[in-house]
Order: sequence, then C-alpha cells, then structure tokens
Amino acid sequence: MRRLLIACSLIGLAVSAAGCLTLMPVSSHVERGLDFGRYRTYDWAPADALPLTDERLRDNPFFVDDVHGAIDTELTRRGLVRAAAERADLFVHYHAAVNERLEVTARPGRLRDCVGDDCRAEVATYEAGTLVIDLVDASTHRLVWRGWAEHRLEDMLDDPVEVKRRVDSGVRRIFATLPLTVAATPRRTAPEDVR
Amino acid sequence: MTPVRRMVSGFAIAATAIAAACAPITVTSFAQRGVDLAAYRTFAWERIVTNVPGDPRLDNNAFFHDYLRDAVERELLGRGYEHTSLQPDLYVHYHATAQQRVLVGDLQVGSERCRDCAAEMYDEGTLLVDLTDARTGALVWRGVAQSGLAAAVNNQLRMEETIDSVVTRIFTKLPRRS
Repeated sequence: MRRLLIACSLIGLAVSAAGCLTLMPVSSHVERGLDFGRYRTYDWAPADALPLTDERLRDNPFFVDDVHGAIDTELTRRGLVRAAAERADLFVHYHAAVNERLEVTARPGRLRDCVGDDCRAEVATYEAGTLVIDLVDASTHRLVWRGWAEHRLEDMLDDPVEVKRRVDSGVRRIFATLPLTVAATPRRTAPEDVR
Repeated sequence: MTPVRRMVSGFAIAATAIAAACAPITVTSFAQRGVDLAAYRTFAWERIVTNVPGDPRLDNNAFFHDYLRDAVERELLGRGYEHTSLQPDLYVHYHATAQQRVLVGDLQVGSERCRDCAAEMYDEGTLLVDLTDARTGALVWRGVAQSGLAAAVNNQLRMEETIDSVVTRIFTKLPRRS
C-alpha cells in the first residue's frame, strides 16, 4: 500500500510538473501527422453551436474585440494571411465558457493527524473561464487543431485593460502549442482577396 | 502574486494532480432482465450529441469523440458484434459528462481522529454507453464508467490512454457473443 501511494504521488507530481510552472492551464489537441506548413490563408468561420455562453462575455465588446484581435495577431505572426472564405485554407473559430468550480481553501489535516473541528476542510466556489480556439481545414471541414486556456475570472470582466491583458496572454500561450511551420517563408504581398 | 502564494498554488495544483492520477476507474453495467444480449449480432451508431456538459474543452472536440467512438467500435467488434449501416440489431450511443469531486483522505470511521485527512478536488469524467434494441427502441444494456478522464484531457496522449482503459473496462461487463 505504501509503495502504491508513493507511486501515485510520483505519477501525480510528474503529471503536475508543467502545471506548477503556470497558473493558467493551457493545452491543445492536434491532428497527428498533419503538415501545418501547407496552410497559408485563413478566415473566420461562422459561429458554431457553442457561442459565448456567458452574457457578460457575449455582451462585452471589449472581450470579443480582444479575442479576435489577439487571434489575428498570432495567426499573422505565423505567416498566415486572412482571405475570403472561398480562398481560405483554414477556418478559425472560438468559444468561451464560464463555469462555477470548487476549490479547497483550507486543508488543516494535510500530512498530520487532526481531531474534531481541526479536520474540517473549507471549500469555496470561483468562476473559471475557458477560451477554446479551433482551426478547421477548409477543404475537409475537419478539426485539425484545438487549443484552450483556462483562467479564474474573478472581477476581471469589469476591467477592460485587465481583460485585454489576460486575453492577449492566453491567446499567445495557446498558439505557442500550435506546431505551425508556415511562418518560415511569409508571403511578401497579400493575395488580392485579403480583406 | 507573492512567492509564498505562488508556492502554495503550486502545491495545490500538484495535490490535485496526485488525486487525479490516483482516481480509480469504477465501472458498473445494467442489463435488461430476460434479454439475451448474445442474440444481437449487428450494431450501428445512433446520432451522438457531441457536447460534454461540465467540460468546454471537450465540446464538439473531434479528437476526443473520434477516438472514443473508435474505441467503442473496437470493443464491440472484439466481442463478436458486427458493424452495419443497414437495419442493425442494436443502436449504440454514448454520453460523456465531467464534474468535480471531493477526494477525502484517511478518515477513521467511528472516530473524530483523522490521519492525513486532507480534502482535494479532482475532475471526474462519467461515460455512459448504451445499447438499444433497434426494433423496439428499448435500452437493453448500459455500461457506466467514472474515472479521472477529465483530468487527463490536457495531455492528448494521456487522454487517449485513459479512453482506451475506460472503454475496455466498460465492455468487460458486456457478454461476449459466441
């Protein structure tokens, strides 16, 4: 049993090592074996069936503008050029969700014995925002990459400067997980159909 | 954030991951009494709703749903069922959800004393797999698994490994066709 607990602890610590380095979990799923260098152009896809699920986000023009701007910036930085839908290699869309989550805020019994009320743990709720960005192959309509970031919302939405800072940082870190090599030779001139 | 708060947060994240790593897979199944499951031969997919309540990372996530669907198909084929798109005997359907759970340490029942009785939150995924009689529409078998799947989503390979083990465990409860 002791060995099992030690093994589980080691596994857990290994799994959490990346998480300990940052307080904003960011990750992605990707179509394996796909050469992202073949994508040159993109366009915004129509909103899917999962729009912004929280009215504070949906009705917040700062948030929507910030997300669009940050994604455009990251794609441009990787050499992708925005094009009309019929000329786009990739469609981009995103959705954002807010979920109430629980966290243990007091752990009096950790790693020692406790008695009675000393053993009482405290649990609090907080709002977690998740921003999900999808890249869809325009010819096959298959999802080829999905990246996301999760963050505590707290009172962030009341502060446009903070919203922009968090969105820029989150989107930049999401795209850092994208194995895109298309930026190696960015086009010097934009195609005719660039908006 | 001060270094101390950052360190405390780091420990909290580590503790949560420990809990997730140790979260067991629990599997149950239900079979309609009087139904001979071995009498069914072919299956087809029923339309799957690809939202996953409680986990926006998995909503409409083709990487998750395609892998899960392949794993379910592989298990059904391995148990002697045949895939068809025409007049199947069974329809297959699954539903995935995610929720937070509290993991409580070594509470000594009947005593107020606790040894390392820390409480931790962890993300748990629940997967239901249903087999429905295609002719009558009646549910004839349901497999249910609860696991640390939701905690594995941030690592694509770990997510796939977890799907494999969860689906394999679910289908050990389904009688094999001879």
